[in-house]
Amino acid sequence: MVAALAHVLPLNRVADDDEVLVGRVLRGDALAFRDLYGRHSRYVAGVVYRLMGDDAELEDIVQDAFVRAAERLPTLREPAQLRAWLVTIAVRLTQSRLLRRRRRSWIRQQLGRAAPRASDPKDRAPADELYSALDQVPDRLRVPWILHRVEGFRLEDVAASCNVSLATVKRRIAEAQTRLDRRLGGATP
Amino acid sequence: MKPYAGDDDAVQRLAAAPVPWDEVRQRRVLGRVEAAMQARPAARRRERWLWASMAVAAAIVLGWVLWPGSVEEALDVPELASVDVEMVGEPAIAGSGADVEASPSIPFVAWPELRLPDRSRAQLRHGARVDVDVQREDLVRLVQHGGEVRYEVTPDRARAFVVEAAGVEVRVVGTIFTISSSGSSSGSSSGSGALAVEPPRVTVEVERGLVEVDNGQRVAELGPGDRLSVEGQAAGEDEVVVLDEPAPLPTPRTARPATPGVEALLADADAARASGNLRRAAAALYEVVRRHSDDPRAYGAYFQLGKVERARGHHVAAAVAFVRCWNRSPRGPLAEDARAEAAVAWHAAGRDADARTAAEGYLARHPGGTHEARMRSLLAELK
Repeated sequence: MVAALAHVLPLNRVADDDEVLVGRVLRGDALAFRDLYGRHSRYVAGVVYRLMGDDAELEDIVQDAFVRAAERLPTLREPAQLRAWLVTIAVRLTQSRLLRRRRRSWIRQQLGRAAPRASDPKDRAPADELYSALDQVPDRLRVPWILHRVEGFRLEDVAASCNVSLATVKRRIAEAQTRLDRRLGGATP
Repeated sequence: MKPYAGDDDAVQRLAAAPVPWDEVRQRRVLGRVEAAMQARPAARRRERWLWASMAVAAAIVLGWVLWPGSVEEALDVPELASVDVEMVGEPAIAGSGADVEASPSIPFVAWPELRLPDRSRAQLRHGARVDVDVQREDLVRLVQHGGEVRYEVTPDRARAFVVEAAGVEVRVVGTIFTISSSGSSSGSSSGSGALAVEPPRVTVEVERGLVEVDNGQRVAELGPGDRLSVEGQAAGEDEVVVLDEPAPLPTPRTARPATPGVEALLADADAARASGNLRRAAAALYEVVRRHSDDPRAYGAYFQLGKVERARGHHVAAAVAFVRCWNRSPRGPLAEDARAEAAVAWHAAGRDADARTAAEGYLARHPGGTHEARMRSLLAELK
């Protein structure tokens, strides 16, 4: 299947850097958009997946993020920062989906919820336990914590993605850490 | 096996967990993205056409209503009887046809008002304090500390307006509503010396429009006339320390329970800081780090203590608190700030060698960090 589609979209081909690609997309080059998508979609999907905790809405969010990015690309001031910008869009979409989910939490309770699984069985327990503890932390604390601790984002980028100030994001990460430690029996943050 | 002990092990495993995103899925989503992008212009044209039709219809209705004589002709409205009009403040409009006299001014409490560039207003009542956390074209985010605030938000679909009070978020588009925040961490200290162990309560009353109230556990939508009271959360690390107000007299500690818990001590420290009683705040924080040093919250308490001691002018004590905060978790979320603040506090205390060590340690550990410029200028000053 993948081989059959390879001529349509060579996903892994070496392309221009982001600045050049953005310039080409803005001039109406559809292939450049595909390159851009091929380069960043997996990364964006990973961030979204870890924030959501499952892949039920993963495709929808990634789709919306790239559609929105395509619409707003002319407003991107620093094309070199494309990846961070895409992630910011995806994080905001994820947050609104999480909000919607909480409104329908009774459905979630009835249907159950799957958490991301570590691939190696011996690694599963700690990661799963951490994720189930994270699941108990409110979204507004959990999202910045995951972005900073798991995704390795700089605090400034987390603040931008979450639409809050640097001080607030630090406070939220510290609070999430405290809650996790309390739940998981960690001695120090 | 202990699953998680504050180290990075579980975090790294979580980060390394495979993402269910294969090439088939990637292509499928690309197909949907491209389809959506092609459908957009058509949808936009439909949207524009709809808006244009509505605008034309509105213009026709408006023209019919405003056309001289049209209303009288159509509805045969009898001439209006004379109307007594009372206005406060503003003079009568010339030629309005009504005799208007300004009524004597009515005494009222002039609450301080916060005005934002988009003409939104926040009326601060009963000792409320509001900090502007974020102010951008697409987002205004305010943090309310205690008291009661009446918000009048200018409608703007392109800009989100969020108010946080004691951990409860209220999101609005354009509306008038009031938030009252009371309790242990709201800044409305009772001043009695007793520990406030009850969680703060946040009450939201809506006059016009819709708001969304989120306390981290549940989300509720409120409309005109609705009133909701929810439990808030304890205040965070980054409370602003009030320096200008003189500290009230220390209150007797006899009312305090024999062994107060961390929660109660932190709430006491928050209330004391908000009321400007830094001495009492420091005492509560010292209690936390001494009596409950095993509690994870002692980490944040050290950082708070550093800020409080610095505000009191006790620079050595501030530096020691920041260093201890850093020592407890050199990779924690407050580590970077703690090391930078320690350097500044050592410098203020006149301990230049310690300040240099801390600043150099910061630059080595956090190249390109938030406080890089500050640390470099501190080192330049020390040379």
